[in-house]
Amino acid sequence: MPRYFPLSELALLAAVLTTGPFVLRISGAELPPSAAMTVDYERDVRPLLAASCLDCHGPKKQRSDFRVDVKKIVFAGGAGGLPAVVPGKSAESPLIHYVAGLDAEMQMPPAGKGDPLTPEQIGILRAWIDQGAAWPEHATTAGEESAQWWSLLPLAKPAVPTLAQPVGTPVDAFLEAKRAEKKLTASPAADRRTLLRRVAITLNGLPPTPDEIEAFVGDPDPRAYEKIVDRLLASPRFGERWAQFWLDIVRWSETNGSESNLYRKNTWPYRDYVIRAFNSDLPFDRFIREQIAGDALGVDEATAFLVSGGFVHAATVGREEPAIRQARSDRLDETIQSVSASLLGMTMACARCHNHKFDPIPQKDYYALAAVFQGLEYGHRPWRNAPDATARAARADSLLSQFNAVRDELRAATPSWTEEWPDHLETRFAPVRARAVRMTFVQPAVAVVEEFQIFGAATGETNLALAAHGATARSFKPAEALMREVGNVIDGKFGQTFAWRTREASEKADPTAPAPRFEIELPAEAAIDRVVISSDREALAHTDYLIEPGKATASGPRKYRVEVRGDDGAWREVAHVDLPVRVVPGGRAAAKNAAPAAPPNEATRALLSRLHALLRDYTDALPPPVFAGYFVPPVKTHLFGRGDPMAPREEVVPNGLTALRTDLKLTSESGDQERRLAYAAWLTDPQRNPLTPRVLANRLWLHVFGRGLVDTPGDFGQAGSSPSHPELLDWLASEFIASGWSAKLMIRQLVLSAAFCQSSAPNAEAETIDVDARLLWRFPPRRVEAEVLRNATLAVAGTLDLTMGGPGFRIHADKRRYEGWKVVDNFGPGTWRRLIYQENMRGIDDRMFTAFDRPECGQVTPKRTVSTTPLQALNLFNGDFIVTQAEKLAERVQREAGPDVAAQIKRIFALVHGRAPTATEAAAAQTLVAQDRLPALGRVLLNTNEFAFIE
Amino acid sequence: MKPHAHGPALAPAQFGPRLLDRRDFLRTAGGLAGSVALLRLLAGDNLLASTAGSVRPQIDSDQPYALRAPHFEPKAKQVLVIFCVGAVSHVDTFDYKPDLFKYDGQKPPGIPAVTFEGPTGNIAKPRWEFKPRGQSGKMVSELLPNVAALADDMCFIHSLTSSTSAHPQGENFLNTGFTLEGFPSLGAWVTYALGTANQQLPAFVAINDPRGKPRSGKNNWGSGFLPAAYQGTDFSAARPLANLGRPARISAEADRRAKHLLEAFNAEHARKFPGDTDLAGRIASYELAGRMQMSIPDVTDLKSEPAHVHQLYGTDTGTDLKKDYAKNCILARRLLEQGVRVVQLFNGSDAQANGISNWDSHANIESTHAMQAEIFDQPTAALLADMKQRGMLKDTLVVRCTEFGRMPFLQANGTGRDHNPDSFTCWLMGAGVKAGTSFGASDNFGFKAAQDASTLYDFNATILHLLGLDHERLTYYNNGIERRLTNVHGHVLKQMIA
Repeated sequence: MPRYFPLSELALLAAVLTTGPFVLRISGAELPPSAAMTVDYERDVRPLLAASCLDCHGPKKQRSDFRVDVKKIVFAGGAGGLPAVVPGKSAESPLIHYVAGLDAEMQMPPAGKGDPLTPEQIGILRAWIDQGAAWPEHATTAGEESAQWWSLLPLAKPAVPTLAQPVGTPVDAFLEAKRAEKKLTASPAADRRTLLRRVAITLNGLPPTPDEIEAFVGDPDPRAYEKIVDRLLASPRFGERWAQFWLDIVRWSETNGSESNLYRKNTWPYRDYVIRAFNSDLPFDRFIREQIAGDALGVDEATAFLVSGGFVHAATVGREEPAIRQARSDRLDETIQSVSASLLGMTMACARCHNHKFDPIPQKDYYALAAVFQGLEYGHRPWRNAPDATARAARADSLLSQFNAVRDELRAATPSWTEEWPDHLETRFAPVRARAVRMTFVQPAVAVVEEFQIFGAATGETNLALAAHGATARSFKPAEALMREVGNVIDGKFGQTFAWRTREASEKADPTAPAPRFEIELPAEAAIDRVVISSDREALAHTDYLIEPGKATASGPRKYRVEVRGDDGAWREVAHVDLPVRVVPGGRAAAKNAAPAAPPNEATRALLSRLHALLRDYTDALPPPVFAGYFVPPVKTHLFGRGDPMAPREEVVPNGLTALRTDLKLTSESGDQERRLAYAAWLTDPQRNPLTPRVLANRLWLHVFGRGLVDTPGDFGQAGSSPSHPELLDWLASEFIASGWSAKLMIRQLVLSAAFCQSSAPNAEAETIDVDARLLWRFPPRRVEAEVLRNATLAVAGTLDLTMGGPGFRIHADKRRYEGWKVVDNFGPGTWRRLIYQENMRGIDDRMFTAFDRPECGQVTPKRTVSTTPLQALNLFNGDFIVTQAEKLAERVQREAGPDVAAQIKRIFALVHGRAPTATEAAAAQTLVAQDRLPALGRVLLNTNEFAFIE
Repeated sequence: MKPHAHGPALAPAQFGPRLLDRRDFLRTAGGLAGSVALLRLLAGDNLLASTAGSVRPQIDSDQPYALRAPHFEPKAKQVLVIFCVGAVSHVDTFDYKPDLFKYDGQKPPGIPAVTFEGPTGNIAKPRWEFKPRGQSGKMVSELLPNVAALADDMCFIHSLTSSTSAHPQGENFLNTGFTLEGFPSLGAWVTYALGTANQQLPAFVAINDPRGKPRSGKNNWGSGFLPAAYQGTDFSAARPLANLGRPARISAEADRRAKHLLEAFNAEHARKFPGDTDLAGRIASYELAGRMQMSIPDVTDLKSEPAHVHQLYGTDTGTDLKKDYAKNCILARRLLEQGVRVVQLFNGSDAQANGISNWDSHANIESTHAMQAEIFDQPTAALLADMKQRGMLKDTLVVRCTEFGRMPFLQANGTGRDHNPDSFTCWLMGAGVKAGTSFGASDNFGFKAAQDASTLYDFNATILHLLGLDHERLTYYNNGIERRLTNVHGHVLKQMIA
């Protein structure tokens, strides 16, 4: 017999429910009054129960075998179970007695477990019960009660509504059906000028030229508009416009964020990849699979998607184990946010610490997704499919064999030599048996060693110096010479936090004091022939625009001795290195007084010079590093109690969502790539996962109409907004799949609808019914984004540089590692490409368009906010950018319209607004131009509302 | 109304891409407010159903900075946040620990082997002498003699903890409630909730250190996912607001004529869309910008301050950094006098000048803390005393904070103290604050919070409370969650409130 309450509670309930006088005594009077409102379970009741009761009576715990999130338990009657809620009778419902604290011992939540409910909240619960305690079937969350939430239901293509009066496209039929319910009617078609500007900005992010407008206005072809749409869709400008939306969501940026906010060398290939994907109409399912597992599909740069969020550098994480684990967990969380906001429309973030309170996402699901990406790390890997990859590879092969030949010659010519690789030094010497290696650094220069490696011919690429392989390290500390533990050099970790460094010898230092040095003891004698010294690999190989990389090299050792001791106990020097000191701008001159090592003879010098020439060519020919993450063997994933990485609980295997009954058939032993491939396949299989096509269809709609059918494009859960047109959304999602996941066909369908082509004129009567035009009784006018404002300015001024792809243009100065990015030129000719090509530094104000709600790339941005601020006005009215462009615009107008001011005014209106000025406008413009010349008029027009809105 | 992801508050937060929702506009627009159609509309959107008190600021698109009512009667109307960047050593300043003298040079059990930067060394006594101050007898060190003299006006909290021991995350956590980037700052939350009294100046000003920005830069005054209208505007005495002045090539008359023509064109255009709040809002933003062009130069012009004020703040003595910081202190006072809602004053930055960037002192704490104190002490004390003398502390809350503390022991073989997120000291002053008291305590060494351990969530909840805001009800919907400054945590520290 199921028992939902412990005996003491049963006794009380029995008293409450059966003892007449007792019931009478408590009914009504002692309880807060029932709220005078119509209560909705979803809106009013569930959040309240979730906040106050769910921790102890929900999926996690079921104190007294009771939970508030499962309908049948709450209402259970008969067979021994006593109902907590008696529909229609709040005063008799035990739930109300508990929360009202009628019996102090039964007060819920109990003391210490949460604040008591307020009288208003109790009033809401009472009203709900008194109104019949309606509990929608789909409203049960997480766990065994399977989800009936709309976005998780299987996708079926609804029939297009049949209307008495057929309208436009199928999209219009769905819209008309909804409008009719509210007695709304569509607006008449927009005029052609307005329509052309609307569709050109929507599809290409640029206004039409005066010629294009005139041609369209005068085109008698009934397919005139369709032709325009097809031309705009085929334009390369399409990808440059639509890629931005995708980059927004995943907060793509070219720096890492956090304190040093270092530049990510070669992250632009991902930006270009997204532009290319939109331009070539790469099937969206393929686009998704490549972004999750591009390394397996020949598109290395695509996986930059996974690491598009920021992360905290090891140096800023610190040395404490909890912080290191937290940072790793945060990196995975960034990836999970990208995936869930862009593709799932489920906010997984909540489930990091506890079961999702509204959506059927148990905490386990979050960690199952973490397990999918457990093999991912933030950083660079070789870009194997770079555009010239084949030619590069052939060249690298040939250079490598030449390089090896010179090495052989060197081997014959000299007992030792040092190779300067871009990110490390390699000192080679004749093979020798070694039990220990000693490195001695010549002062006064600072030497930084983040990692020291020892290799032998017989042991190949195995680093014999690793602590993990049994090596030990010790250093010697002549006065004030050492700062960090020497163990850092054999810990297998790169990064200057985990470095050993000498201190610069001071002028006062005892010149006879021994030089700083460290010794590596190997577990057993081994044949060795080279040592590798790294000082700052990350900065040298993976970032740009750092003022210090030269300095970093200089801070790496330039003068040192390598000595070796065999089992015989005798030390012998195998190399005495004396590299020319690099001149560092702003850095200090180093090593003035060091005794030079024996200079190599001329033949050796010549060989070394040839070797380094080949080395440079060879490293240039290697695949460039691309910031797209790299992959490591995945460790076992555990659920973290309350999200705390120091509180690992049960093991979790990689998987999709429980609510969709996903089984990816993966285990903790599955390989990294296998996990991501399986997950990507699930994401793009509408039979198994209906969320992704729904989310994508909504997103395309959003960027055409300015607002999604679901207004929370990153959240299709119960805290999100419900679809304004659920059938239309499913119809679009089904069409999308049927079209082969073609974004272009979907967008084409939307911009060809009568809804898109209708006028945006206001209508007071319609506004009282649907002020935001969510039902599309008109085309809702809206502000243009920062990109459109800027690109359109350049376009009308005739200065837009249409160069596509490759590294972006810079507006910032170089910087030191710990220093902010400073804007130095955000208006000059070097910045006249489209804004998508402006180097995008995370969290940095570009002093011009950031004020226009350009995302700062800290958090995922499924939808931008739109705000209106005086800073925007100041930037746009006074900034060098607009002033310069106003002058360029004036020059263009004078060139094209000649000296007549009336003609100039006509021309400038045609360029900026795509229309002729009214008589009043022309007269006012004429007055201004007479006094302040044409650029002044340009500055005004570029600031107008008409230029900043899509009508 | 939407269900809440966290907390008991039932009210809706702002949906929609627009800062200003038309529905808000309609609801506040007198002419329409009574119409049956409108009521139906609002009911349809569930906006009338909010019962537990709406947390949604009623924002009118014409005036994003308009005054808005707090949740309850506030103790303070404005707030000055003085942020000591880099982590001030509490055991060398405000948290007196006699045991540090007793154990100086020893390594008692319980000291961890490794902290943020690496291996730990021995306990080190404070580098400055402590003395009792004022009526309260509060022990404060000689590092900050001028600030110490005001101890009777302060309420110290000695039991604060952070959840990170790294600077940028620490700055983020203190100022936004999250260690990661992209969340709204305290100043943004406050201006989003309350607007501002003076429409001619920004609602929220971040005065950066003369050397530059803090480690987390703009995230400290950012609007995160709140509309950009609520981000702090950063300028200082030395560095004016970007694009404030008219372009050099354009005369004042020409500039005025251009503005008038812009107004005329926009007015003409608006006739096509009668009642469109987005268009009206943008027109208003140009008017506001025009007013700021007058008022910001006025408020940043320190020449109008008499000589004795400059002397008091110390704009003419000491190092250049100190002089520039002193000017920022005068600017802070002038902004507050003009009704700016939130002023954030930074002492310390990521960038270095004259061999010092901020309070971070991993080596040579004696010299680095002394250099930083030279910049901080006199101007800050002058600012506080000046505000008190002018009666400004009646309405203004002053918050002196730092992202975490420093260790009672030195770093191994070192001369500096590492980061300590488990115990540190901040203080409040001014409106609503229980002056001359201390709350909470660290252990004998100042190593961990021992009594009334509190979080920065609690600290921020308290600041909001003093401003008349319930930290649990001040929310904004973002990507599935009703976000708060205090995440899902925080309790108001009533003991700090008068």
